[in-house]
Amino acid sequence: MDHLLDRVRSDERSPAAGSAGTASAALAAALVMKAARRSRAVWPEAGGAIAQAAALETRLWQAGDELERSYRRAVEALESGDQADIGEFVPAAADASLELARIAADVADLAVDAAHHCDQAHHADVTVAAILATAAARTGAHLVAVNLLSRPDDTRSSEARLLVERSHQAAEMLAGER
Amino acid sequence: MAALSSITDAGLVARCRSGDDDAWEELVRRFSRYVLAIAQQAYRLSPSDAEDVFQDVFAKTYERLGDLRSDDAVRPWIAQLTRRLCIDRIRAGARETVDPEAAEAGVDDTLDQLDEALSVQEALAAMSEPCRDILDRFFRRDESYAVIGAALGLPSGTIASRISRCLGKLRDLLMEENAPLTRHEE
Repeated sequence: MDHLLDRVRSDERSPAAGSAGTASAALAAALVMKAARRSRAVWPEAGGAIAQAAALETRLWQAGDELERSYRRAVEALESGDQADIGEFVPAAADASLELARIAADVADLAVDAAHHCDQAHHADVTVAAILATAAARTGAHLVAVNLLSRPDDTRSSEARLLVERSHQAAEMLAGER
Repeated sequence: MAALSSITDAGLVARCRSGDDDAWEELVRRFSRYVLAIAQQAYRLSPSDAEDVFQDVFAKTYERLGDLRSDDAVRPWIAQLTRRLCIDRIRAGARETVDPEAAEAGVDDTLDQLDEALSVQEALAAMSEPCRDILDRFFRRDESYAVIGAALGLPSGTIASRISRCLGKLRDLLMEENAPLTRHEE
């Protein structure tokens, strides 16, 4: 995390927003893992949640790398003004952003499952996990919109909005339980 | 063949000993990827050398299955046979004397990983189709809960819970598989 913060606060172009969103969702997955690890005595299937959180975290970091790579290519294309490159690389950045939103929404779902089975002393941890995952889903959705150059009719935009809504509902539900 | 694919290793060996050709075919099918993985991943043999080792392993298995003391132990027995034949192959292709220790570096770790993978694969094969499918979709194909839910006609909010239940069953199967070995070791 220190390394990521150093790189985000640097004057380099990337890592930037995509990595910040990725880190938010990865922290959410880590919180779910912690809650599950500390709930084995009351939750026989805690190991299943741990395995899923670990798999989602791995996917998140891969998606984050792809997001930064595609963002750099998109910016270079826009700066060069080459229409073929813009047509190829800018939508690719939108795809990578959408993937972040998808994984983040799954982390929010997993947080709900954990909240309903874990030791309730950790309910707040998984609620915050859902809140962080929602922030990451919203990050992904915003980057989709930016990279699609304000084309709200694109199916990626509508999928991203649904993912944000799903995550938001998960976080609101958990927050309302305490 | 469907029945043979679900019987235990010991049951399969017993059928091989009785001269059942289908059982021999299943034995080769069951362990072929394992033998090739040892040759290529643990000993880094070329594909053609690995193929030669593969042929030797199953030829010798056919000749020497009678030497196997415990039918349960066919997997480690095939692993040991494969290791020996891999070393022979490396020696045969080397211009200088091969240091056996150097050739074996890291092999135990790789073999442990392969054994674990094979155990998981066997346990997965013993699971119900819905569980096998959902675990495959999430962990191997990296599908999202929404995609899995849409494919299986289930609400996406229930997928995480279903995966956890199936993983619990997988864990139980793996523990069952290891239990006789633990008792034997004691």
